[in-house]
Amino acid sequence: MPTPHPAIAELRAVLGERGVVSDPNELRVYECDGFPIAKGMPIAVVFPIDTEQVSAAVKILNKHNLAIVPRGSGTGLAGGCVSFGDGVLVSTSRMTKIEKIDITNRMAIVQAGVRNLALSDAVAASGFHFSPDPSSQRAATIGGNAATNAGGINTLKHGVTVNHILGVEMVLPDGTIIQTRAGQLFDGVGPDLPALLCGSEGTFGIITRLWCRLAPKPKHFRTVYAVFPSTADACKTVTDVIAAGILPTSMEMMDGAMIQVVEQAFHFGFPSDAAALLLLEIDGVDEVLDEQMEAMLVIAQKNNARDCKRCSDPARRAELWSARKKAFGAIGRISRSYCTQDACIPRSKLPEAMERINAIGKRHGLTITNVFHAGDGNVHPILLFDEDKPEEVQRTLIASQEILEYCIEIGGTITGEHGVGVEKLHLMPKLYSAATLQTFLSIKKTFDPRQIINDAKLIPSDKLFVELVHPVGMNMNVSGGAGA
Amino acid sequence: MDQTLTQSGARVVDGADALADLVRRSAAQRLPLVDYGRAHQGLGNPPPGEHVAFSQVGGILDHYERDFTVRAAAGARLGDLQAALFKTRQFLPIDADEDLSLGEVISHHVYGGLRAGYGSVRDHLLGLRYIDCRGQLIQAGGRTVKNVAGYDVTRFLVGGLGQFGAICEATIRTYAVPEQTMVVDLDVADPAGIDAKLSPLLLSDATPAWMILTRRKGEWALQIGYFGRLTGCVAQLHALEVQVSGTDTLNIAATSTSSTLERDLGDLARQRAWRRSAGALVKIVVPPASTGATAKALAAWADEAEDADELLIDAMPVHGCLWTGGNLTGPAAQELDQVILKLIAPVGGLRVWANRPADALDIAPFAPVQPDWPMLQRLLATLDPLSMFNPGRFLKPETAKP
Repeated sequence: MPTPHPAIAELRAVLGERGVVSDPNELRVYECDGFPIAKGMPIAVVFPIDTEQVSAAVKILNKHNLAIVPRGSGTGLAGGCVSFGDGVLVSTSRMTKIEKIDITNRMAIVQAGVRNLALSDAVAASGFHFSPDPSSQRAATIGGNAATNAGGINTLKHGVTVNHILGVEMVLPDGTIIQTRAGQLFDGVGPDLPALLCGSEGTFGIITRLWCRLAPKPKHFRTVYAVFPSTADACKTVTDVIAAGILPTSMEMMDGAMIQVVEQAFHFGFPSDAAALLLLEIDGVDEVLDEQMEAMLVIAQKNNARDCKRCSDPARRAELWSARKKAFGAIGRISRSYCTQDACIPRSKLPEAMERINAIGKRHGLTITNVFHAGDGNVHPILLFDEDKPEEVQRTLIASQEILEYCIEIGGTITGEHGVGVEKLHLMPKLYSAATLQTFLSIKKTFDPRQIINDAKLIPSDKLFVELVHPVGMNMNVSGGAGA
Repeated sequence: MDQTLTQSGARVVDGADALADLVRRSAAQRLPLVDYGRAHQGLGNPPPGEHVAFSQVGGILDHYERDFTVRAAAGARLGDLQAALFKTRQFLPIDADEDLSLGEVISHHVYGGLRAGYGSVRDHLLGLRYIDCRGQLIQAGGRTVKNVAGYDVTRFLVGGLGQFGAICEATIRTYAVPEQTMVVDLDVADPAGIDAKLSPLLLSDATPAWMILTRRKGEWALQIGYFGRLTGCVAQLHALEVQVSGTDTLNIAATSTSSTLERDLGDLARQRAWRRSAGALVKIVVPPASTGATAKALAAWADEAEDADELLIDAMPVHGCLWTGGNLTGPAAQELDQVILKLIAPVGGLRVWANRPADALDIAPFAPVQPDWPMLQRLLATLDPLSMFNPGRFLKPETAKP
């Protein structure tokens, strides 16, 4: 048994026995997030209960020159909350207090570990909710949502996490606690620091508290789905609906393979020969929704839709959305492993992008299925593979890279909502100039001069070697020790 | 370098390359750059010593019509942008002075009553290109609706007052011009009464596309705008009637059901025209549910004070923002400032003087000191170590406090 790191005893002294996990067996749970290809074992995980404990823990880790990796619920999809090298995870999962709910000012103050849905549940009686709705919202923390600027299904109309965060408290890598726009104001003075902290993927510090905007929960909906003979027809419908001046809450698309998966799992009666399905929802003033719904259906029919269905029954609607959110989980029925990509492209490029993605899959002998936020142009090609076949893993990774490079070519980006983490580090230079990446690094160093917090994530460097497209190996090669 | 000068002697710069060239030349000579535009008056004084004043021009660079996205030069005049977009039945939901450049709207986080229904430019901005202090072009964000690759420098620069780099281009979401708009005028007996009404109103179908509370010649008025199909506007009006019925605070006075977006934007511009010439102009931010009470207290002060009975107030209750001022004397402005500070202290508000009378320049433009200013100061030292851009407008180069 290796000798425990001397920092462990100091951490226990501050956080108590429950506040520190260092048993290698227990640590195995923390070796990856929702991107299981990238694995790394921390030397410990700490569970502070408040900002002061986070600060105290960080000071100890800093003193011992240990890499610090923030972690919420571990639902991230890019390896962003995994420790590579001698690192300690600082989990916010015990920081679950909703500290204040102020309905008259439409805001709430929460600790970072409060789950996304827990806040909405807590304010449900008031008619308000916390609008960001990532698929992982039952488990994901609001701190994690902010750190990754998480999106979701309703973002087309209602925005992503940053649009709903008023202020942020963060513990910097030296233990200093900073607050920005920590109050009940909907505007501030000077540059928008909360926006910079949102989406920083834990590379500046650990978000410990948030001032969240509460939005009126929509009361009136219309939900429709339409089945298409081709993905191109479905994609054209998406752009035509928006061009008609209708701004749906969500426009979700599934391709033929995914329709079959969902049908097998949830039995909605979707036709088995359908090539694409669009699930559309509008909200707003009840009196105009029927008219808008009919307009959307006319557009869908003009684009060759068949089997258009209106879902006015709330229970049916809830089932449909539940199925959409569980679609990824259902993929396990047809493939042992899968790799989900997260590119975002201009919406008008969707038809050609879907064609290209399928062509890339065919060229590499892979099945690629798609379920994605079509209204946002946020595509999620899901590449199916068998992780016990190294050569197939390699083809999967090569195909993933080709897809993302193509998306950059057509004016898109490599991640719409999952983040860069370690997964997409190697693609950052293809998206941004050296000057822009240098600016990112300068900003990072302003918060973290010693570069010990989630270092070498998000910004490519020579500290963390990430070789996703390995010539012969089966797993990504992640080595090095950030801050070690 | 483009040598064209504006009437005020500012160099006119057209395009990213010309701007980068200007920055490099100025950096070589250690001459700070100051981008004087309409929104900059009063926000700090020009830096001491020599500097280069510049003003950008430009227009739409790309309009991705089917994507409802536009890429435009920072120097593009807002009025020109809107006019071009209207031709395709699209618009930017930003109600600001049409002479403002897009870059100014972003740098000063300018918004109006339309923020109630559409959010502000912070919510619509997808990407920025700016020139850093070394004359390099920096790309932040892009043209997609969602993008989390890299730090969100795009939104960080919103409200940055041009101190962190010179924005040269922006990519923004556009929206469909509504088929119909409706304007509802309400009499307001007690502006403080709006505070309690706001949350129920936002939860109802009466939630507005825009909302403005104004005080003119001592009288209050609340205007609410609805956008959409006529049936929708009428339904919203009925919902509003339910909300205000039985109250002695608000009373629907008039309804215009035949309005258009162009007319609404024009009316909103005329409403705030006073701000362009106001010798004293201050923006106040308070928690939304304190907006009406703050407005009422300001009016009460104006009624009592000498030379301030014409105090004008525009308030946006949904977001807790108020603009107030007029042609006040220096002493009256000083007194107003003390009143404001006293009003905002208990609710954690803040205020920014956009224009101060010549004999009241000792009023600190920004107050109270915010906890994040030291961090912003560190970021400024990182991103503009040479203090090239508008030094001292907000953050001072030498000290940790603005």
